[in-house]
Amino acid sequence: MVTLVTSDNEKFNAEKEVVERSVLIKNMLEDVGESDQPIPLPMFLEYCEHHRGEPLPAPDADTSQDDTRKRTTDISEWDQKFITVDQEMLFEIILAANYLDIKSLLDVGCKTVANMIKGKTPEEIRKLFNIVNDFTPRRRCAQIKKENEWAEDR
Amino acid sequence: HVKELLPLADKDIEDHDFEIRRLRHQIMIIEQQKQQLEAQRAKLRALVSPVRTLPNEILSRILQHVCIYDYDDDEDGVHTPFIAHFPAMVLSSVCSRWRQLALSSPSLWASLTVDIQDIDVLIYELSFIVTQYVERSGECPLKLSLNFRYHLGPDEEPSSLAFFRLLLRHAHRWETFKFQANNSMSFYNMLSRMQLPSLLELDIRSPAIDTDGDQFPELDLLEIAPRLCALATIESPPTKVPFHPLQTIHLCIGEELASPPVPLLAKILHNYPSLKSLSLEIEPFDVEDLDSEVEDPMVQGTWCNITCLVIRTFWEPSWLKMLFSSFRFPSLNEVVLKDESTETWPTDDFISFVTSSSYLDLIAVLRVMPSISYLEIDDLEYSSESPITSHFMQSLRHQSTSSPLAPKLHSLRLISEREELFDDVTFISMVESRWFKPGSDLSAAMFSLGKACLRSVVLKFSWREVDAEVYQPLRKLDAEGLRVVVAGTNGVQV
Repeated sequence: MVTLVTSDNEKFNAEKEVVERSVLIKNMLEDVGESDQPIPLPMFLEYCEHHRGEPLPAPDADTSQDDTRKRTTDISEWDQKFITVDQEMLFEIILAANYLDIKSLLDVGCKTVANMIKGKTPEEIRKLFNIVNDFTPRRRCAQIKKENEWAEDR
Repeated sequence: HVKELLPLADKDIEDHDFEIRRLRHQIMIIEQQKQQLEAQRAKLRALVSPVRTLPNEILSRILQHVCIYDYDDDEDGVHTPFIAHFPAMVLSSVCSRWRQLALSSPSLWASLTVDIQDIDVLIYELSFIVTQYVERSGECPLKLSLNFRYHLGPDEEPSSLAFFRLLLRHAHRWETFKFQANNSMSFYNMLSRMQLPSLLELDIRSPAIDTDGDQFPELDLLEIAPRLCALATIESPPTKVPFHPLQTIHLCIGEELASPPVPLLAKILHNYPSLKSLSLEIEPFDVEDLDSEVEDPMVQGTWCNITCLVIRTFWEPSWLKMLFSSFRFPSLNEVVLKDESTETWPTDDFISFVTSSSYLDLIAVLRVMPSISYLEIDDLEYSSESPITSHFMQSLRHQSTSSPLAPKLHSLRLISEREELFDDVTFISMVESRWFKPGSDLSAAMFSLGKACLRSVVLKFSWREVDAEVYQPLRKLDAEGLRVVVAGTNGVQV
């Protein structure tokens, strides 16, 4: 068993096999060896518990190419439910998955955000994510406008 | 007296006009202030926007996902907005950070989908867009999908269109080419003269028939695209064989089917020796039109390369039986069989077919057989690793959030003869999850949900001892009514 401690000092016990889905934790456990010292980490147990036993990606596998060839909407039902959270939490999950090096969770998060973006105009994307249109110099504005004039009325 | 009142009234009106102007001016100032405040608020919101927290590497990853076109969306009948076909253009127009990322990622611009309904309206825009895509994609291999709903004239070729000429200049970079067209003869004509040295995937699911019903001669794909490894077509597969590079075939056959599908399948397997994935889709046809007496000595054999088999068709029961009894695919790990006509499913032949396909993903098989009630696995019959993995047992476990594999399972018998790691804990927890004490509320609830209670479990090891202490929880279930047998080299322990 491994003890995980959240940033607000809550403790969780989990099986080693479950938490080793995170490459970061796996490496930390290997570095620390057998120890009673708790490992401070944010909560991600639910996801790892559900995916227990599934094959882990090869350590040096470059998933960026292969993964992007798959359909973006290919997110399992359970993962979709898991990732149905508010925007702030969604990005926190993505950052945590990146930090903990859990490739499959990072992928689910990125695909979810991508699905939110698909089919939207630049203005709709700005509204969705609170992004400021910072194309101030006139020339660049004109270029962007030209690039998007075909999209405005369709 | 009235004359004295008139100037006073004029004065009052003037005063009111002045006051209105003053207030209007005031409103204008307030509205400007409001606009400034809104802009300020937008900037403040942007500063705390969660998307800002993403590092460039993750944002790039998201943008990559956005730029993958999902062909199936259209096939499902879901309308795809016009702008969604050019996501890289949209992303690069959001803000300067996104633009910088998009412009520095040539691969974002390498996938281009053009869906043309009315060429006159879009011709200028398409040329502009395609120029941007081609230039910004650098030397990346191009993935092109063209849907021509527009009717080209009888002598008109796609190359007469400016945007298409641009694409043709980069034909050496075409890696994927998919087209659908109302008048596809012009595409076949054009393709027959092309050299596509980088083409790996070709999807031409448009009939090669002109308006007079004449068939276009077969494309010499070996010559046109010598590296082609994936082909989807509604025409007959290339006859210049053996075609070694081809690894994936998706064949949709309509009314022109001349012989029963099993010999056709055999022919394809013989002609494409490197084939790994075969998808055969046959439209409804009149069985009486076929020569069902066709006997082909090739209709038998073991095909070690095939890992994926998808068959969607209307089968005669005898043909389905023939399929299962004639072929062996020992490397198969994915199978989809969708038959819409057969009333009697040849269960025995199918099970024999499945067990002979030793790499077959057991979970995938069980997923398409939700009504299975008895399951026996002897892992010695599998030439690769044991299928009795932790993941397999986890998939069998009842969970409140999702339906398990084989929800109707009554009896489970596992024979472990391989000296591979066996996850006792997951096995026990799986059995516990599928046992509902008779008469309990849980049992009634599960019954109403169509989930069966496990009645019998047998687990035998030929290579290891069983720790009776570990399996203690199952002894308790045995006492409650579940038949449990767990035996190892040290004899029966439960």
